[in-house]
Amino acid sequence: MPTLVLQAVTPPILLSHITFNGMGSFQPEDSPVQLAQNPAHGGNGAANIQEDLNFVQKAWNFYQQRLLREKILIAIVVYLLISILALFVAILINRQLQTKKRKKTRELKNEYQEQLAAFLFDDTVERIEFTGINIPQNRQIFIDELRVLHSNLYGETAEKLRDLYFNLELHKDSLRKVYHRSWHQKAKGFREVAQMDVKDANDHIRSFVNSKNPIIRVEAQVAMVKLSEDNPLSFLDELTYELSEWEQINIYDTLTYHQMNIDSFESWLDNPNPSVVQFALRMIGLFKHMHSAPRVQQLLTHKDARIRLAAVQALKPLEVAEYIPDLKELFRRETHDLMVILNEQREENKRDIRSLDDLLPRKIRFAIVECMEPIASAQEIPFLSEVASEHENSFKIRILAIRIMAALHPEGDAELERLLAQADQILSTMIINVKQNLES
Amino acid sequence: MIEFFRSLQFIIENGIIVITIFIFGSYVALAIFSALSMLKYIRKNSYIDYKVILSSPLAPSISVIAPAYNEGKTIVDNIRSLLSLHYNDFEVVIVNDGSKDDSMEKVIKAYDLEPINVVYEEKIPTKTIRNIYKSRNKAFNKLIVIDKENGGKADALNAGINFTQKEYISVVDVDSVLVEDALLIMAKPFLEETEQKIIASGGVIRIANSCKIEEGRITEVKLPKRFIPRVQVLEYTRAFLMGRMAWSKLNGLLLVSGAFGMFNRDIVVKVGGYNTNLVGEDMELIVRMRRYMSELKEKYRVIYIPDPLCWTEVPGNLKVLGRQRDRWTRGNMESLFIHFKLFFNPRYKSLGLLGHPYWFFFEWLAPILEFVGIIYFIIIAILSAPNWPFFFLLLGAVYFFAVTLSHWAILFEELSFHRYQRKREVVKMLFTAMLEPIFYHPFILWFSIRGNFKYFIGEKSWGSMERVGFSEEEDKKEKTQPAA
Repeated sequence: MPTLVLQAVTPPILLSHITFNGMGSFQPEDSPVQLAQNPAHGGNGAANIQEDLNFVQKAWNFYQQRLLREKILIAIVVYLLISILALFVAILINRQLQTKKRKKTRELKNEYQEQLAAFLFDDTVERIEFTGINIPQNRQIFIDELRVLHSNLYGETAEKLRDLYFNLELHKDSLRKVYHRSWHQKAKGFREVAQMDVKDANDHIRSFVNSKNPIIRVEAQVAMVKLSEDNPLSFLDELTYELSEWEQINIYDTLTYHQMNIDSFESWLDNPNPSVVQFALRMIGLFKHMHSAPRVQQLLTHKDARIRLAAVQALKPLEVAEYIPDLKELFRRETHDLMVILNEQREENKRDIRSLDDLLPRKIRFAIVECMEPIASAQEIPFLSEVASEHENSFKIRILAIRIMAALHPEGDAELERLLAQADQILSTMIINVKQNLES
Repeated sequence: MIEFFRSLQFIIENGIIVITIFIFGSYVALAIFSALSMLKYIRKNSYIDYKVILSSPLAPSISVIAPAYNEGKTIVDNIRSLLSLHYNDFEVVIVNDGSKDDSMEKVIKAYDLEPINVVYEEKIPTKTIRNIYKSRNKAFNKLIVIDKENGGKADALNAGINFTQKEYISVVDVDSVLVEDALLIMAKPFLEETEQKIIASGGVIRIANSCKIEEGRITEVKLPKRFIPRVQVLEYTRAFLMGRMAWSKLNGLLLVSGAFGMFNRDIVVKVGGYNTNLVGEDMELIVRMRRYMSELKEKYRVIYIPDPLCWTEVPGNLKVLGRQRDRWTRGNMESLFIHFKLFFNPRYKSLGLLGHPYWFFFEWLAPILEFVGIIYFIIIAILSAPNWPFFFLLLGAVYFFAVTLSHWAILFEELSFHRYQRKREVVKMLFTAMLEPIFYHPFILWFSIRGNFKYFIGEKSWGSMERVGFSEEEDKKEKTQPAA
């Protein structure tokens, strides 16, 4: 390696006179004296070359005389020097090229924006030649601009833009990306065909809703929502991966942005994938599907705590007072589970580790009380009073229970007065605080 | 005797070669990991629309907690900047940690604050809370100001953590400037993961010295004019883009910067919040959270975001820089020694086998070895003739390696976020990289040795925290740790 490195830094003109024998020793073809005497080399030039050769020879001799560890260091130093030079030049060239490219892209974007605006809104324009549209890089810039514009338009204008997309055969570019091997091209392609409503690759895209790559997966799912007219969420039936929060947010965004109407999410409440059930419950709550309330109620006893929590949260916006007894029953069960966990944790505390197991029962209990807030009647006062008084409960849930009671006139007020009379300092501070906040 | 020294010299010199090659190899491996991760990240996020989080009722709630101590000169603008962040369900909790200046008066006046009655659980013990304020003006309804007795940054953060009920907490230095989408970008990794719990995410910290800032927003990015802040730009770029990116990929990240990070509140509370007895509370919290999750056998990750989301000022002179760096050294040592159980412990997987040992050897031991090496050389020079060719070759190799690494970092920056637009800025950076090992690194080494000394004599001070704004005319406050 040191030999190779030395070769790399030696000017080629000198290398033409140097050979290395098998043992790695230096062997000039012509001696410096011969070179100086050779008229073909000229006077001063020959002297310079001789100096250079002397330097190279000295360097080589120095290298040869070194110990192995020093030879390694020489190799490292020479290699790093070349790297620094190469990086220095690469950074400057890259900067130059990038600046040019960015400028060109910016100009092209502005041009396309103007041309697209003229195409859409200027009736005097009969035909527009989009600048450099046949160059692949330009086509991508054009597609991006067209997509941005399309996402901000509705109705006839959006349709006109879509027609342009097809007339310019840009859908073929998008489809090429859909079938591309690289994941990021594929994801980009999914996004483009979904937005421009290109249904030619539906089957192919559908096969990626269970892709190992989470980025491809979310893009495929969103594309399927957009492209499956009859049943936008049918892909949920075959989903094997857990539906992430990010995927749920994107699917919900697509449904609402395109004002898609899903009659019922109930069919996914029996899905073996718990995340699909959670998603369906969330959608029932967000779209206020009152007709699904009985099915949601059944899930209050589900064995999976995450689904119980989602069911309670889905019931809150539905405001169904008749399920209050079920909620209270669930609260009691969750309290029992929580106490078991807390007792275990007290044991575990000896090892200074408290598990995360108490978090879900706590969240479910809070969600239950929260769910009762808009629908509670005087009948719930004993339950709420118990929640507010229980020392094991968090401040958050106790304060919420007090706030609900304070809103139930006059029975709630009376109960709070009774509690206040026998309350400890913490409870009395909570009650006074809630009352003061209500008054202000 | 001379023979003995010759033998010792032989062993040491060969040992140095092996260690040097190992260190070079480690840095190259980290750089490769970083490059791959960065490429994936940039491709992945190039077409992501973060606005879907902004408008979604499914997005998690976030509390931005910013401790403030004697920040009177900038606090009003900084709060305005935090309030204008793009996110739907969030609150800004400013914790005034017993400031001796007029911070509270200024904030009360500027935001029309009034004390509120609120009861909340003090799950983590803190110093006494004097008052909690909210604004009468509905436009500032996301703002909460906690006024408490002085207890240090960690104590102030714990007070904010106690108060908030949001799912995630974002810890911010009140004088840092966040980009408007910072919360959206930072929240995304928490939403994506299904198989592992994301317990924390950290972002790149960029240097705001010389940048143009208007109404709490960076309006023009400029490379610092002075050498010391400029060389820190290089240092931060190297550490964040080449170090932490790789450690995130290897799930061995031990530090989320105190200037800007996001945490799962439940886990923070479970582990007992920040340790108020340490100077390196930010690193220690992450190590403790990771250790906690490992001991529970829960799958987890600490994520790092390479986007330049947070801009902050760095020390402008050696005096303040020295205070900052010796404090960082003490902070590292605290976390490493408190959690020494992790050291090469397979039970803690990447944390025990990679993260902790790396920090132990590269962040703590390396400067000590370097210092010992210098002392050794001086002794050899006095007692016998040193091996000068070996000395100069080693010096050259280390120097050129440092410069090469910095040049790679500049290339990473150029190919990724490209924040320094002027051509002369990149040329300046390249030359700064050549000067850094000669004119900057010796001081950093000295500060680290001083930190070690102070740690062993038990010094716990933070150093002064004066604030002057973002101009480069005066000394700067000490800030965030960029080490890999």
